[in-house]
Amino acid sequence: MTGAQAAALIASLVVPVVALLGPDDRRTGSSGDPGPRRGLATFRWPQAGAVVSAGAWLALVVSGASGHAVGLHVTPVVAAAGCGAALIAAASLEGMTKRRSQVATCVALAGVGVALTAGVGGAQPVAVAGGLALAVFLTHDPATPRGRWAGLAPAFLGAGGVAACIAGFVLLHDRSGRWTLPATSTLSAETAVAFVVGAALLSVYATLGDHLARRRGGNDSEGVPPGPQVATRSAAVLLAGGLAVGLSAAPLRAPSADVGVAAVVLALAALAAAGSRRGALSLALLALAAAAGPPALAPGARLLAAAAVIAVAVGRPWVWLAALPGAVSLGMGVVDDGGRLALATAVATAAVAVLLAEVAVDTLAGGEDPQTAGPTRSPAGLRPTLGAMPAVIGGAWLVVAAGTWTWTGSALGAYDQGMGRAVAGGLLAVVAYVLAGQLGLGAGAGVFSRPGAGSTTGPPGSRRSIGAPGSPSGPSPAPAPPSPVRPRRRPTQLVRSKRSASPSRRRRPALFQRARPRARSSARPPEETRPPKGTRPPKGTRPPKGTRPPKGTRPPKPRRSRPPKA
Amino acid sequence: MMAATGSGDVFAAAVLLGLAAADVAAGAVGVLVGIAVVGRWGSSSLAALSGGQAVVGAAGWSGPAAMVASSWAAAFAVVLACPRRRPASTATTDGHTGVPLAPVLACGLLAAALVAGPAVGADPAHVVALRVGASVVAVVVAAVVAGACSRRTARVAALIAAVVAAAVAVLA
Repeated sequence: MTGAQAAALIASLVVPVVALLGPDDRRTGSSGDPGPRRGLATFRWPQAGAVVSAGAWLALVVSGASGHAVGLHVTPVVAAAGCGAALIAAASLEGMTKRRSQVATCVALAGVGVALTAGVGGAQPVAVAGGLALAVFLTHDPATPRGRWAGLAPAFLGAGGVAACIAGFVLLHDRSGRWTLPATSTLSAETAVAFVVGAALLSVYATLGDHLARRRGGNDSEGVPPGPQVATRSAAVLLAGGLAVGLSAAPLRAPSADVGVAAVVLALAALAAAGSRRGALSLALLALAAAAGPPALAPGARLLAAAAVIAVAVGRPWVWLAALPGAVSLGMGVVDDGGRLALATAVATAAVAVLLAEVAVDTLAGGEDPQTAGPTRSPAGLRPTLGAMPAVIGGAWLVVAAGTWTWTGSALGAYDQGMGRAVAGGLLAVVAYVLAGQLGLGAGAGVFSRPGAGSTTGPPGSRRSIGAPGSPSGPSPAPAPPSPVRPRRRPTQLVRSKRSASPSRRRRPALFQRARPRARSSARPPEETRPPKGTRPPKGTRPPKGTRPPKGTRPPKPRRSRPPKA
Repeated sequence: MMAATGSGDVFAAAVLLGLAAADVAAGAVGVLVGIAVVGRWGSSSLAALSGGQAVVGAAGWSGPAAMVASSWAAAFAVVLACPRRRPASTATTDGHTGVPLAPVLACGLLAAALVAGPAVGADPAHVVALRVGASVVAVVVAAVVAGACSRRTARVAALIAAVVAAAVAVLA
């Protein structure tokens, strides 16, 4: 490793913890309530630290860092797992207001990083077990709707995962006399199975928090509005760590070591998870099953693991599409291998894909979530949170150019080429659609328009009269009652409106028109009917000086509206 | 775009087809068609599909009879998986219930690539004419089928055709 890579590695481990020393935003303001936040203002220091950590890990991945430095070691898979854990942490910290939860998430992130990188001099079991156990201990949330013992079940899963990893190291020491994972394929079947089982248990633990939070209707019991928009919990950072352990150990087994039974069991578990609408877990288990399968499936396993991490970070069903390159790579691996185990894995992948697609289509079509018993289709339920945006960008990169993810070892040149052209074609189609709307041609017309201005249009094609009440070229709308308060001018809006009921509305080129308030234009006469400035009406029509109209006919004086005092 | 240019992966095209149709059955048909392509040509790459056809001839009338039948079945499955016309309940207010153009084009081009999609090689004029003609025919057939058949019938027929295509390609 170079000096810059070592610095990036240290930064990726330290920054999330240092970010906790930033100002506590709950103390801002006199009342201690930071008030409603929007946009980037919702970003907190720990979240920024997680994003910086993800960037440092990404630099290690892109630069192909591999080797030892300052008592730490890193491989491309480890660096990618660290980046994924940081992305999950950044998404999980969204909406977390409790200081304890923020500290737990950031320290757990650092613990996962230490577990994956420390232990160079034969202390790898201590590092792995210590880091993962610390993360499990910190991220365990006993608050479940079923009581104390049910609340301890996830903790048992996490502890079981850590124990399985320790058992793997013990078996490794028994067989080979060493405490670190070898660089060559010499692991026995039992050792590989122990690591894979540990990774699977940690994956279940990491995604179980999301499942319980959905059932409970909140994120980490912190007041986030209930519903399917709940994304992740802090325990999810363990998903990347567990997958990294499994994906690092499983391919290291000796050629004679047969772990086909474990692969089949994991594939069936993935099917069950997909059937219970837990997409991220099913992808993670499928990745582990593929890793336990033939070596030709290893690239597909890594791509599926990346998709699982992104899925748990974003927490929306449409992000399951990120598994597409992994499925394609698995298909290529099945063709290369041709064995029964590879074929069984491919069949399981296809079945999982169909199940997840069914769930995703149902969700996007507005079905009912069986866990929250509420409508699943809502803008908040489909839109990613701000903290999940880095993961969304990573997912888009994965879908469009998976071949550039060289750490996965996949050969997806043809896939990249086709997806690049498909995306280019899709963007061209979108541009053409919008231009058609601008020019009033075809189906794209009227897609982008102002809200609430559709029914009062002038003659078809009359651009000046469109949406401008009081215009002489169009039929005048019903006069609105005069408003004494001058309405505030609305800003330019870009709003997708429903398809128009009137054919003439479809010809409206209203992409960037400035919305004009109706009340103001109706209170004033149109420009053409007003007398020019400086002219006075003839004498006979003017009322004599000193006379005032009777009281009942005078319009009321406009009152200034003052904002209420704070 | 992928089918027209003969680039990309057939599984990716299948998933995009399912997304365009917003139908899981269409995606499943696409995956089965991908398995049929892999079973015949040994690769899921559309470039490999075009290259193979440039060497041994168009898939629709070259090679073993079982493989030819598999290719035709796959093409029919893709055409049948094309999204149907909108039902009256979801039709637009101006009465538009026509066949969606983009999915019909996509399905037609993919079906043409499966049957007659050789890469441009030694005889470019002949190949281009063949591909353009096949694409036009396939798009027209897709439009007619999408406008004539009911959604349920077409879905069942597409699934049967796709299963036949995959089974014949893998087992033959």
